[in-house]
Amino acid sequence: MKRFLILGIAVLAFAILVAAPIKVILWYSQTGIYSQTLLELVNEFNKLHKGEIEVEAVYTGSYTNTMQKLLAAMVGGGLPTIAQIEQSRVGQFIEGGAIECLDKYIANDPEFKAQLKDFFPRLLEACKYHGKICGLPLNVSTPILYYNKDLFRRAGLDPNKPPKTWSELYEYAKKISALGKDIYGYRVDAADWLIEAYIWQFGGKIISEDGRKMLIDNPGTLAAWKFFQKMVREKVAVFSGGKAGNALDLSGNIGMVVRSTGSLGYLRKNVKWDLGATLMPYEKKAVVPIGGGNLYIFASASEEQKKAAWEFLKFVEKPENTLKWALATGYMAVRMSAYNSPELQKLIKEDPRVGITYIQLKERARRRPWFGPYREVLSTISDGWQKVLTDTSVDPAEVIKEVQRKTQEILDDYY
Amino acid sequence: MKRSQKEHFEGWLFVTPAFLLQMIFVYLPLAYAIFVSFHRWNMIRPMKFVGFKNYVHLFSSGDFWHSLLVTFIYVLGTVPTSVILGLLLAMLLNLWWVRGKGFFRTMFYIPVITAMAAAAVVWNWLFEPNVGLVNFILSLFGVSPKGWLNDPHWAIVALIIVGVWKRIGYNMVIFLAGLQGIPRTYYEAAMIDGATTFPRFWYITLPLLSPTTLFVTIIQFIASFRVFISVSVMTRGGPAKSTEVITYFLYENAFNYLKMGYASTIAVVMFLIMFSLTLVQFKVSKRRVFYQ
Repeated sequence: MKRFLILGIAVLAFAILVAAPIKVILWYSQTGIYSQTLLELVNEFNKLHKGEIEVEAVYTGSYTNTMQKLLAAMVGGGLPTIAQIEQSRVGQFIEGGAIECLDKYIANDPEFKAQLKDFFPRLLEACKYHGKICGLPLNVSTPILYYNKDLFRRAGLDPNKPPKTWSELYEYAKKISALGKDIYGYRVDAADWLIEAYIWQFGGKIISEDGRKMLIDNPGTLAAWKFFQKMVREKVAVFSGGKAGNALDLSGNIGMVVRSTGSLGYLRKNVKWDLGATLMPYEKKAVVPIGGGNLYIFASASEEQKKAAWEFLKFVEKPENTLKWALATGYMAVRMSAYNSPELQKLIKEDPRVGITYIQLKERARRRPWFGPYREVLSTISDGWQKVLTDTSVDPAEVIKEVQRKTQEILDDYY
Repeated sequence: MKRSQKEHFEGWLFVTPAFLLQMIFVYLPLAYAIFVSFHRWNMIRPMKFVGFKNYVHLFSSGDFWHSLLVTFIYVLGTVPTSVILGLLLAMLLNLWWVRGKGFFRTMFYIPVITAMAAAAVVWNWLFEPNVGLVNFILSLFGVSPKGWLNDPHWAIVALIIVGVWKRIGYNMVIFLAGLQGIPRTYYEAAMIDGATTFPRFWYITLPLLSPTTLFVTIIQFIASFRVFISVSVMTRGGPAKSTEVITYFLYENAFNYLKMGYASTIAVVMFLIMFSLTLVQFKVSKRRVFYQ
C-alpha cells in the first residue's frame, strides 16, 4: 500500500513538473506608464501561452540598480532570462559572453527573418554587436528640441519657425534671455547622450569604430564645448540637469531645451505654456543619438527558457505591440508597418510633435558607442563637460586634452 | 566529560550563533574583499590575478586622492559640528527649568530614525536653487541665492548640513545619558567652593563627559567617513566630482565601471584608514579621557 502511495506521489510530481509552464524571468527598469504598458504586454503573452510559457516581469530599479543586481546575480546566481539594459551599459556583458546573441534563433525562424526588413534599419543597427544581432529594441528614443512658444512670441520670434542650427539657436536664445533676469534662452544638460550629440553635431568624434582609440581631442569637440560655455557665460543659457533641470523646464522660464522624445507626453501634461517641438539642431552634421534600452536574453538560461524568451521577444516586437507601446509611452514604434499604421499616422497628423523623432530616426539617428569600458570613458567626458560649464573661465581646450589623456588610459588599461 | 570541558563546550555552543553571523557577514566578506583586491574582475569574466597592480594604480590615481580629500572635508565639516551642537543641545535639555523636554528630544531625534534616502529627496527640494526653501529663507536675510547642489563649491556644504542634521539627535541622546550619569555631588561641592557656570562646565562636566565624547566622536567619524546615501541621492558625486566621496568613488568603480577588483582595493584601503585613525584616536584620548 505504502509503496503505491509513494509511486503515486512520484508520478503526480513528475506530471506536474512536465506540465508546468516554462518560466521566463524578465527584469525591467521603468516605472509608471512604461511599466504598466510592459506588464499589459506580459499578461497578454501569458494568456496566449497558457500552460506553456509564463513570463514573470520583475521591476529591478533604475538602470544603475538593475546593473547592480545583474552583476550580483552573475556571481551569486539567479540571473533572469531576459533583461532590459540601457544601451551604453551592456558592453561588458556582450564582450564577456553573458548575452545570448539572436542570430541562431533568427536563422531558424524564416518567418521572423522575413520581417527584419520591417524594422527601422538604424534601430536594428543599434542592436548589432560585432555584426551580430544580440538584442531587440524596447524603449528607444531620440532627443528633440522643445521650445516655449509663449516666450518666442514675447521675444518677437516666430513660434512656427524654430531654429535649425545651433548658431540660429544662439541668436534666438539671446533674444529670449533678454526678456528677464530669470529667463534663459536654452537649458544645457549633462545627460550622457546629449554630450555625445553636441560633439557629433559640431563635427567632432568621440571614439574610434573599434573602440580602442579615443578621438575626442579634435576641433569639433572644442567648437561644441566653446559654444555652450559661451552661452552659459553670457547667461543666454543655464547649466542644470536632473530634477532641478526638470523643475526649470516646467517653470516656463526656459526658452528651449533638448530632451528625449519620450518626455513629450510628460511635458504635454505638465507645462502651462504653449509647447513647441522640432528636430534637434545641428551645426556641421545633422545627427542624433539613439537612446534608451533593449531587451537581451542571458546565455546562462536553459535552452528551453531561451526558446521561450525568444517567443516573448518576438511578441513584444510584433507591429501591433510595438504600436501599442509607442502610443502609450511616447517611445518610438520600432517597425515601419507600425509607424505607417492609421492609428499612429492619425496621431502624428493631430500632433506633429509626435512625428519628429521618426524624421530623425529615418535620416539622422546613430547608435551610441557601447564598448566595455565606455561607461568609465563617458563619466570622464561628463566630468570635463561639467567642469567647463560650471566654471566658464576654464579653457575648454585644456580640459579636452586632459579628457583625451585620461580616457585613452582607461581604454589601454582595459584592452 | 569533565566538568570544565563541559562548561567549555557549552560556552562555545552559546557563542556559536553570534560567531557564525559575524563570520559569514563580516569576516569572510572582508577576507574575500582582500582576495579580490589582488585581481582584475568585472564579475562577468573569470578573475585574473594581477598582484599589487590595483594598489599601484589606486595610489597613483588623482581621482582617489581627490575623493579622499572630499571625504575629509565632509568629515571635518560634520563631526565637530554635530558633536558640539549635540552637546549644547543635551546641556540645554538637561536644565531643570526647560519645559517640553520630551517634545524637543523627540523632535531632534527624528532625523536619526528617518530613512536617509527619503530625507535626501526632501532636502533636494529644500536646496533647489530657484524655488527651494533654503534660498528663500536666506533671501529674507539679504543673502544672495546659492546654486547649492548645482554649484561645485556649495554642494559639499549642502551635504555637510544634511549630515549634521542627521547626526545631531544621536549625539544629543548619548550626551544626555552621559550628563545624567555625572553625580550631583561634584556640582554641589563646586558650588560651595563658589565656582560659577563656566568653570563648573570646564572642570567637571567636560572631563567627566570625556568617555562619552570619545565614543560619540569615533562613532560619528566612522559614520561620516562612510557617507553614501545622501551623496548618491542628492548629487551623485557631482557637479564635476566636487562631492565624490570615497564610498561613491568605490560604488562607481564597482557597479558603473565594473571594476570589482579595483573597487575592492578601495574598500581595503578605506578599512585600513579607518582602522588606523581609530587607533590613533584611542591613543591620543587615553591621556585626555577620565574614567570615573
